[in-house]
Amino acid sequence: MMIKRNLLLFFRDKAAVFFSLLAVLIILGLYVLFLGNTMEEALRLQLGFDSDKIPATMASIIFAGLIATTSITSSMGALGIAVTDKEKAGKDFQTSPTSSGKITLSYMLSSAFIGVIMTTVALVFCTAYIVFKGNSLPGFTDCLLLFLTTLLSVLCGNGVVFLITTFIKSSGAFTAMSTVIGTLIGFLMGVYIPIGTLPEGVQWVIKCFPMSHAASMYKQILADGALSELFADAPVEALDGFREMFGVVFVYGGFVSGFWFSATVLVVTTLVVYGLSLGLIAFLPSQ
Amino acid sequence: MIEVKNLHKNYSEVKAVNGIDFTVNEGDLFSFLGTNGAGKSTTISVLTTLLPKTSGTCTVGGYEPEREPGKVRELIGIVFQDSVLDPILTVRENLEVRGSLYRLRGQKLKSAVENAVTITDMGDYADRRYGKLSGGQRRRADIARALVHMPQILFLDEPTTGLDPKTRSDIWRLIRELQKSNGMTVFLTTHYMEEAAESDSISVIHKGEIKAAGTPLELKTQYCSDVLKLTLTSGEYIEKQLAKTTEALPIIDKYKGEIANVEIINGTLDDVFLNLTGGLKV
Repeated sequence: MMIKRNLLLFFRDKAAVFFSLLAVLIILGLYVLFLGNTMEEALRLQLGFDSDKIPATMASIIFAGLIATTSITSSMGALGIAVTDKEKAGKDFQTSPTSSGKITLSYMLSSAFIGVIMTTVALVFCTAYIVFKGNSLPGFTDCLLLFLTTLLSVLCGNGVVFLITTFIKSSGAFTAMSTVIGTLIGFLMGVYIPIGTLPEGVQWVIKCFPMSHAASMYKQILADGALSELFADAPVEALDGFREMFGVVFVYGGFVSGFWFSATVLVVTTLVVYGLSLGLIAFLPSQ
Repeated sequence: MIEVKNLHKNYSEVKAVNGIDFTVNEGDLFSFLGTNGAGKSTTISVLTTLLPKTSGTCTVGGYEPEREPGKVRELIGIVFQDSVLDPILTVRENLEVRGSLYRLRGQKLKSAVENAVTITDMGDYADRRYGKLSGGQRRRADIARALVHMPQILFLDEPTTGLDPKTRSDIWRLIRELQKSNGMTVFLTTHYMEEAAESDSISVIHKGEIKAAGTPLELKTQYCSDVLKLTLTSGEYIEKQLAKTTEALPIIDKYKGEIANVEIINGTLDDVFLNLTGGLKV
């Protein structure tokens, strides 16, 4: 019943639904208008050769990052309900026999569900555009992997944001936090700037930030096909360099992260943050 | 049903509640009277398991709110001062959600919601969104929410503040009906004296301390007096404070032949309140 309530509160608030996809719409709009051309041109110059696979490659890398961003920002709106409740309905729940743990769980589950739904919507939009740009349609296995990535990414992002919201008392502070996270996360996911062009220190921050592995997973599923065709005639080193440059994989010294390594990072992070938030709620005094 | 002994509640430096005592009997309508910031809401928060007390004892339905919050929560229903329902859900949806917090499911939940809607006489607007309702309708919805699990004790924190006189009297009638027909114990706070006059017992709180307690009649006889105003045919004007209304009789008898106008003004609870709160400041 509480989960149903949280879902109703989100989906009935048309503005909340719209804004949770706003970032996707803006980037998509900018990309279609001019960003796409600029980036493709830059890539052509960098590679030193032209290929009809360049538009598909560029689009799939950018939009993979964007989907990963959405998987975090979309459930953020839903977690806003948990913060608003602290100011209003919270005392009503607190004076009922239902335990605060159950209420907390209802916030987590409903926001995760909303995150999966909204991310899937963004995923469908973005994949359609990538395919339109010349990428091949993802097959059945790819779809399964995409769904798995979405699930892990949403759960992990949701857990991280939830952990932060346990320290936030007002919806004003929450809005400020969402804005900061929403802006930062785009950089961390490598949507705006290729990771390889950033200073070494910043690169390490991104590599160690667990959520950026979600972007890497999406990129591997969506972009690797186009990449291997693009680099079909080039030496392997060129492909590897490119993948590192655009954050398709992360290189830690001699170790190169793969899909399942990144998935494990997400799972472990999720378990840790969920455990921490539930622990905090159990041990922190309620007022 | 509710017992409070030497209850203290401090917020760091501020002593919000400073050693209060009172008892609310089962089935009674109890008014907790005080100005804004007197400590009414703090007391409610302690009794309803929202705040820990600083010292003293209190029991609600025989349980200590701090030691057995779960037991207390089963027994009580609360109408908060500000609205706590979700504005974009309908009243029925709100009631279903809040009802589910009391382990009501399926058919039981449905009938509990219908029961609350019927008791509060909502009918036609129960399916409208809470945020679209008028102040009085919202208050009814708030009360329905507090009743959805049919508590034994109903707390109302300033239930009539901000409502027009007609709606206020409607809400009062509803509260009294609940108390009478369901045997509910009602604990309410208010700063309207004339409302408190309808209750079984009153405690007046001022700056965290109980200044007076008793039935409305007891308070009136103790803290305010009637005034006799006589105008004589000669134009002479006599005004006299009376300890008892009957004291007027010998005076009237004395001036019998020369009276032009007689007025006896009964003391009201407003006088009691002003005497106890405003008056003490002097």
